[in-house]
Amino acid sequence: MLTRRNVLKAAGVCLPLPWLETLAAAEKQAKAPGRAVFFMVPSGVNMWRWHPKALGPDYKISSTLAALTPFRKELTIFSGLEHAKGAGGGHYEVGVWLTGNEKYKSKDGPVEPNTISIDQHIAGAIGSRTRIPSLVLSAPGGSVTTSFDAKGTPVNAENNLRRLFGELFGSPDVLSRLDRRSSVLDLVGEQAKGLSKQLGKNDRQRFDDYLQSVRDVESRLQADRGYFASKPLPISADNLKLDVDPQSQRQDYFQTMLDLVALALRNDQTRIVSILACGSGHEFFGQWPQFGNDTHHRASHATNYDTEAQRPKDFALLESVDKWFVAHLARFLERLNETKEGESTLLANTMVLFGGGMSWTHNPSNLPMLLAGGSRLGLKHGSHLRFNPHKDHMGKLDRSAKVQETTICDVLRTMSERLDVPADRFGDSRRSVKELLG
Amino acid sequence: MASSRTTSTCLGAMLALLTAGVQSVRAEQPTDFDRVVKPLLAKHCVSCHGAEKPKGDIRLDGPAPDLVNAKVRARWENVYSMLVRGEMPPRDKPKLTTDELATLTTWIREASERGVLADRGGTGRTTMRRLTRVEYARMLEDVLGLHFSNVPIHLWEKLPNDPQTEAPLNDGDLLNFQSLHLKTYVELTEKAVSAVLAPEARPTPFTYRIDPRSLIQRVNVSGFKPGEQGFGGKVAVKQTDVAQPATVSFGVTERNADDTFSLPPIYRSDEGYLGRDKVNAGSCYLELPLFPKSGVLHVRIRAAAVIPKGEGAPVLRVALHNNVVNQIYGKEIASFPVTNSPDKLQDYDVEIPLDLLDFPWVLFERSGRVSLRITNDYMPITDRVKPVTEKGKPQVWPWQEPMLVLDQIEVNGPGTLVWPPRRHQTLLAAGDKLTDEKERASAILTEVASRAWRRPVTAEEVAPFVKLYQSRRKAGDSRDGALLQPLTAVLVSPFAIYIVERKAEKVAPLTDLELANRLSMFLWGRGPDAELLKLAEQKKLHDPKVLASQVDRLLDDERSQVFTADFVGRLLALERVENDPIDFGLTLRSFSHAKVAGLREVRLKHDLAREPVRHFEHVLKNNRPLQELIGGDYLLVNDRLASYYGIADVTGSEFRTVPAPTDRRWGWLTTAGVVVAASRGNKEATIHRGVYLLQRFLGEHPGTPPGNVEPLEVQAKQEKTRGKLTIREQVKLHTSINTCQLCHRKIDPLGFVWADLDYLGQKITPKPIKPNTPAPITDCSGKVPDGRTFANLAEFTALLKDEQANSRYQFGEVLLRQLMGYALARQVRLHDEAGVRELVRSARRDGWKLREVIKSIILSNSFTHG
Repeated sequence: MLTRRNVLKAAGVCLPLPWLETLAAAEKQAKAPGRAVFFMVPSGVNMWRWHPKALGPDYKISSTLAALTPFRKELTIFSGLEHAKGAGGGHYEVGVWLTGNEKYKSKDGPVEPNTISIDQHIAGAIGSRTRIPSLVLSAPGGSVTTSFDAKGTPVNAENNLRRLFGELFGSPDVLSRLDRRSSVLDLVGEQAKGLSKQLGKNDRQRFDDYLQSVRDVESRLQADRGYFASKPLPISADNLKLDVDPQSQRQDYFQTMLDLVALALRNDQTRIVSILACGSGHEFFGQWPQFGNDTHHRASHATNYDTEAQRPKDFALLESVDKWFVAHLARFLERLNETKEGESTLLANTMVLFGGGMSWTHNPSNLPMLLAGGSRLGLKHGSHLRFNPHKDHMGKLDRSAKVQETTICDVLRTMSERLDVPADRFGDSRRSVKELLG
Repeated sequence: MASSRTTSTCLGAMLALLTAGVQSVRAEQPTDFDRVVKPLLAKHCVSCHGAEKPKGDIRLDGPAPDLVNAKVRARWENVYSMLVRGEMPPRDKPKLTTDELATLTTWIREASERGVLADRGGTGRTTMRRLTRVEYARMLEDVLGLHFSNVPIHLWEKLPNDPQTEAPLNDGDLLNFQSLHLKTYVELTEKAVSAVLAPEARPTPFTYRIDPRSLIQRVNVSGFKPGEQGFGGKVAVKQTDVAQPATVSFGVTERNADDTFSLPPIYRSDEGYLGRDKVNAGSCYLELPLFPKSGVLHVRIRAAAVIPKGEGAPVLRVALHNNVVNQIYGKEIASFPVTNSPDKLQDYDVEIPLDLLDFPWVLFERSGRVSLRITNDYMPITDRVKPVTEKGKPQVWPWQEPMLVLDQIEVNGPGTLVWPPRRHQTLLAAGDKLTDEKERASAILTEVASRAWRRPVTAEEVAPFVKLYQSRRKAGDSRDGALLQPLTAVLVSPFAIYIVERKAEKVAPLTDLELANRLSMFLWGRGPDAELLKLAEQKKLHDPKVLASQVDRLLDDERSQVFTADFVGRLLALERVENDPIDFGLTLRSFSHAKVAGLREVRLKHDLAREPVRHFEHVLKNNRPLQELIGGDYLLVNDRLASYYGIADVTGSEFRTVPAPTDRRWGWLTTAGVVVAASRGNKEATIHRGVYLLQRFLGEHPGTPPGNVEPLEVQAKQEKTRGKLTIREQVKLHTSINTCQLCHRKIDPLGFVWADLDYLGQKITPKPIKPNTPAPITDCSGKVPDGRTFANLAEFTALLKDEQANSRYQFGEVLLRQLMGYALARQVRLHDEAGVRELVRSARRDGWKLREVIKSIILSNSFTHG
């Protein structure tokens, strides 16, 4: 009988076929797997227009988030969310967003290594159930990422869409290539083991990277073999814009990237994805020609606590860029929502955390963040929640609403727990966010 | 950056901890702690955090804390954040002065940094590092012979980004290696090897020779006479040995008296038309019948240049081009200047490695032809506006511009000229005389491994690789095809990727081979050549005389441009000039076609980013004092930059020294590219510039904005007049708020030194406040962090050069430390401090000659020992 479990067994650790209706039918009672996506857009927003004014379920959606109106019932907007101890100030938000490590200072090199990020924490527990334990993506690529491994090293982020496509769906000669790979790896792996013994202590620690990467690639090869041998979905690269430049063709770039992520989730190739738009305070996207050729970083620094009337141009730019990313998010949610999984949808099984680690310039409080999807995983949506007494636009503490002290790590932990991965002391977390649970 | 003395001192204490045990640290550290930190704690903190009922269980009255202990460190870091955020001391207690705050926080930060390093087992020695992606790709190109005439391939772009440091060093501690690296390294290497190893079957050879003289008889376009413009149409080139003809078409070209063609600069290829992309205009198109995308396509162009007085050389550009309607797509393959005159026609080779270039070949497959486009890509330095009559009618183009003369073009298909291809033969040359397959494979792999691993390699070492070869043979691979995997493995071996140094527990001299590798990686960014390897084999490299003469030899070799470009580029963040979205205002001013001006901007940015490098090379080549980098009465410019600076009578794109105008006499500090990199496209860049100067010219880390501190503007809100403040007054707000002041009192006063230069490095002419009054003089005065003041750039430069002042902000020493960090591929630490002092002393004695400074770093123990 064709059940999901049998297929899993046959293919070793990987799931060769997507969470298809055939399987879903055979396994109607079973729960579709839970997934989590973490999508960060750093460097601050137009704080006058991001959060809705009213709290609770009857809030009126803000102009920045208007594109998300169709998913109102599938998402929760947070006000007042921040890390404990104001971590992530200045431009450190990226390294802190998913780790909650208040001490991390990414700019000065790894004086203090980071701690593990929640996506890698989850991937460590359940990543082996899919062929790709987790996808780590960012437009600049490399060490510009929100993801950190157990050693606190940034996980190398992929930014090349063609490579990402090959990773997910392979290319015609993929199987013969896999065979070639493994003999090469055997050789250099042996050589590396020999060399490692001859090195001094400090060098050996550094060189462990190489040994570890040989092991990682080898185990992936095993999984890939099973996957590609069983003929993955025949998805053609023809209609995908895979060779677009993240900087100059950012519209196509993000659209394609998010499409690929949606496909990867649909096919259950991975369940954990982190996406970073760009570094914090970096001029990666620099100007936004369609919004008047000003630089985002400059505009966001010019606007601290000013009113919109004082800085109309700067706030307009920020708002346009905020909306641009929100539109991408909305499209992504739409993709997930239109994909059926048994009786529910992919969106109902996927938690999408979206937002940034900076509100006003250098300020990591009252962060613009929201959580969408995952209703089948026990999340209760539809509300605008407020946590932590937070400062108003003049920097005064607003104590009008009685609110719980809650950190981002509490939310991350809650997401992790929804995937049955305990994270009770993750970062600075002290509680599960019950307000989010049905 | 650890180049400031204070940081290094603390790092040194850390080293002492490791080498001499805890006691010595305790003996050294307390002096600092007891002398300056303890009294402050006693004054401000101990009343609450003392022995009796310490508040929050924090006691600050004890002896110097041991910050190697993670728990103690966490507590002190908490103290740090409370101080920085102004939460302590509490409101009702006296505030710390900024100096006191600085002393306390600096001590905690540095003590904690060194605690972290000690905790992690850091030793202050150079960690064995891997190659950067640029170095690795260069190694591949060298070993596999992937140098293609006039065609750069940029293999490194296909590898994952390396972690960036702001300092100009390849910090080995930062260069991590993960599965994504290994995967992409293997993938790229395999691709590169298969690009060189020829397949069994020779591709169908083809040759097209396009000779204008033989073409002319067949041209049936009317009005095409010598000296006239306007030649269009298609010409089939019939070759006896190929079934399908290629076609060639010329756009608007000029026919010369001797029946050669001249391509005008494409940006104005017909009368008054300003646009590069008008199809067919001023271009030569070759359309070849489709062939497989494999091997090297060889194009030989016989060309010359006609250069009118005052103009630059024409630029020959070759692009892969798809010209099907709606799918126009072009990719530049080659672009180089042509200078020889028409009476000395010269052949230019363009080798196009089809396997290694990204081009959507599917476009060619659809159209059934592979198309090349040859153009003259010359771009005048300044705007040339289309002249019109009073009534607005276009006039004859008044400028004489350089013409690209094309004579004969020859295209040879992959595998046509020699078979097997040259690179294939060279790579396998070591096995040429051997008939036994195993011996042959062994010889080849040994030879390739010794070049990739940058050392002699024994046959035993490659035995497992030979075994893989044999098993591939058994599996049915061809004699040469079976080399693909073993060669790939050799090239992604840890010996290829890492600069292997087998170090002893104690610091000891490197082996000669390791030293040869360090030296050539430093100065050439690649492995040692035969001469260095030979000296290493003879164990002569540790001889200072031999080593010094090798340094000279390497520096004289043009491969040292890898070092100069990389070091200067990173020191001055010159990549920003080319990559940051900085508006040069060229794109829309007068060119009607944005792309045309876009190209002009690209070339300008490129030259701006080269100037500081050329200056460094000039000082290095002539062994001048390195202070000339921030002074000297000359500039290094080409025609484009001369025009940018308003210097007349410079023609030609090559850089040369010219007398500097009076307002550009401070070398790098008045180089437009440097000011551009410092300003980051901001019109009000005082703070950016301050950070840049502090970090790169004064060698001090600017610090980082503290988190959750009330933003400046909130506090500034109380000042109702804020909108009316000048930049100087606004910036002053930074320095008047305690927590910001920590760093900004160092940063901000520096930034004013460039107040009279805009973000493009051009002089700002101040406007009179009232009409008919003299314009105000821009205030460029400021302060160096040690308190010395300057009134303008001249004085600032003088401060940086002043060796009498007891200041750590001396350009010579700062640059020496930067060079040293780069040479050692790690931060300069206290462990090196004694050495640095000695190097500075000897540099002073020898007058800071740049070449000698580099030599002295290489001869120092920090470099020769590991």
